Amino acid sequence: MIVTEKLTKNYLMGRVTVEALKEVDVSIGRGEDVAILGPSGSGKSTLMHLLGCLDTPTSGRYLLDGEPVENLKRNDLARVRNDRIGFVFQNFNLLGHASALGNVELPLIYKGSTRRVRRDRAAALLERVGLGDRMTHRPNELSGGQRQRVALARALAGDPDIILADEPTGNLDTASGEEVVQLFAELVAEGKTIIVVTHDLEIAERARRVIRLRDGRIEEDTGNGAAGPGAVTTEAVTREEEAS
Amino acid sequence: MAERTRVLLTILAIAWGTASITIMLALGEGLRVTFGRANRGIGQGILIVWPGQTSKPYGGMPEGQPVPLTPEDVTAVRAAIPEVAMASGESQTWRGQRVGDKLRTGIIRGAEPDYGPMRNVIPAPGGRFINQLDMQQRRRVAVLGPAVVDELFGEDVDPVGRYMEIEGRPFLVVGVMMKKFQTSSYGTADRNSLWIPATTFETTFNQHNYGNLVLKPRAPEEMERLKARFMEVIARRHGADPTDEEIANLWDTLEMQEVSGNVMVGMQVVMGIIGGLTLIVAGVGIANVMYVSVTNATRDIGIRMAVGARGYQVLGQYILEALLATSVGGALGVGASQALVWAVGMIPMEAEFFEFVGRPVPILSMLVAVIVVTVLGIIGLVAGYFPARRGAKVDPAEALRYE
Repeated sequence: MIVTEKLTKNYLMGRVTVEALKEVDVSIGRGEDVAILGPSGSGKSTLMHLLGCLDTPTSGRYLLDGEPVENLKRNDLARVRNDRIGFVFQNFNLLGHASALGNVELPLIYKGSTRRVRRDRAAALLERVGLGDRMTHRPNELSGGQRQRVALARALAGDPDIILADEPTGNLDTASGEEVVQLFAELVAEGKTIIVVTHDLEIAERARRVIRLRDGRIEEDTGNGAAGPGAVTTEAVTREEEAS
Repeated sequence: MAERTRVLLTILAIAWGTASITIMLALGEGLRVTFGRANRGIGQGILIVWPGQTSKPYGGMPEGQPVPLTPEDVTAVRAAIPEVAMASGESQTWRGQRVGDKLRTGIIRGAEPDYGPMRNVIPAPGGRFINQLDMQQRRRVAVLGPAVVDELFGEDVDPVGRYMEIEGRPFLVVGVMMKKFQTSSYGTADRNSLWIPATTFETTFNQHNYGNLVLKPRAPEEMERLKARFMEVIARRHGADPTDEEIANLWDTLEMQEVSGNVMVGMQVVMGIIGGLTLIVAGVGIANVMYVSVTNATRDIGIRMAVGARGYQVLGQYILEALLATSVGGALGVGASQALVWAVGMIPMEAEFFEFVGRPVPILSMLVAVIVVTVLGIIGLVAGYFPARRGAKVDPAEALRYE
């Protein structure tokens, strides 16, 4: 469902052009559990921003569910994010002055859902991540692990197919980090596509597929063969077509 | 916390600016009405005419001939000039007056019935001015100014129906002039005057010609025509050159009142501008505060955009906040102004000036309120727009990059 062709991104930093991504071809199927691994400067954050439609590439194509999104306008990109993508960040990025419930509701506000629908769904999601008794708490009243779980609930609010996580366990202790990874595994089993961006090998190896980046290019891709049972990959589709 | 303080200060700035412009405008309005009333004390839009003399030779007569104004002239003017609504002659003399053992010397004016309404000599309830019957029968009746009553009868005494002596002859008091405030006069202020019928004046003091005439046009626009025609009629009746402008001296109070009215409006405009500028400064203050808010909220905006907020949704939020601040501040400002106006109204003002005119209380009219609300609305929108636009341009990737 995610296909990129020669995806390239250049930044202008003062007078210097930084080539963050160089002609990256990647293909990720539905229900895959992927880690994008690389050191600082490898372009992994850039790739995440592009895959998450937070930014548009300098050149190349990005096909999301078969539709090209590389040339979409800002407002259309926002809509795509709202509908199909959920984000989890290293530093949680919650609204400091809103409660857990308010934070989880956020994507639904921009979807245009009514207050009742928002409330109910946000409450259900917070229950799901184990924070049913903390719904009215503000972020500064929650631990790191709890905050990340709120962020995950928010990411799930619009029922997106794809969850993009940028160093989700970077600011967490081991136990909390483990809780989060566990939740990810559950989501994969339910058929969601999880893409985790990290520089930590241990975290990367928890995923079924690892794409290694270095200096803006793919160095290694443990490949489509590592997809789980619930996943639908291009290879699996090809096999099915051949079978019928 | 700092955010809350900022918002509070914004609202305060708006309230202050609003109160400034409102009070300025209200003050200007109050003064305008007060001075308008005072100016009209002599009579609204009337023409007062004094006799002159010829400055050009005409019809065999040399220049320098005096041109009198007579009761017959008044009749002729009424008949010949359609623009005239009211006309009266007036004579003046300075004589002794007595009631019992109280004596005074003061002005005595002979007048016709039209004089009263034209010159704002309005009789207090229970009395009347000179009427047609008085004129026909040359009755010995008198209308007194309030100062005359105080001197001859005592304060708070109603003299109507009682007698007084003028030149040794008994006159019946039929009316007392209502108090008014006058900024201009001729001879002496009306409050010190005493009026008797013009015909009675003629008989009593052996004076046929009038000292001056008082005329009023049907409508202010007809004043110029009235003046022109008047000069023609007088010239014709007294054998003078119709183009001679010296044969009568005209005092157009309408002109005077218009000029003074313009000055007042001018003053109001100036005060309004001052108030407006204060409000604009407050508006700049809001814009600055909102700018800071937006800058501090960059991360927030980034988060919202990441979860799918579109540019105009972020924009809308900030414009709404700006409008809210101006609404609350504006309401506070108008409320404070109203309270101040009421407070000023409570102040007891005893001076004679205020007794006649009514206290010059600032007037918070509908017009003022509408102007203020409009200006506020514009300022709110403009102050909110520019910071909001900046907010809407936030790049979520950039915004979230920085921790």
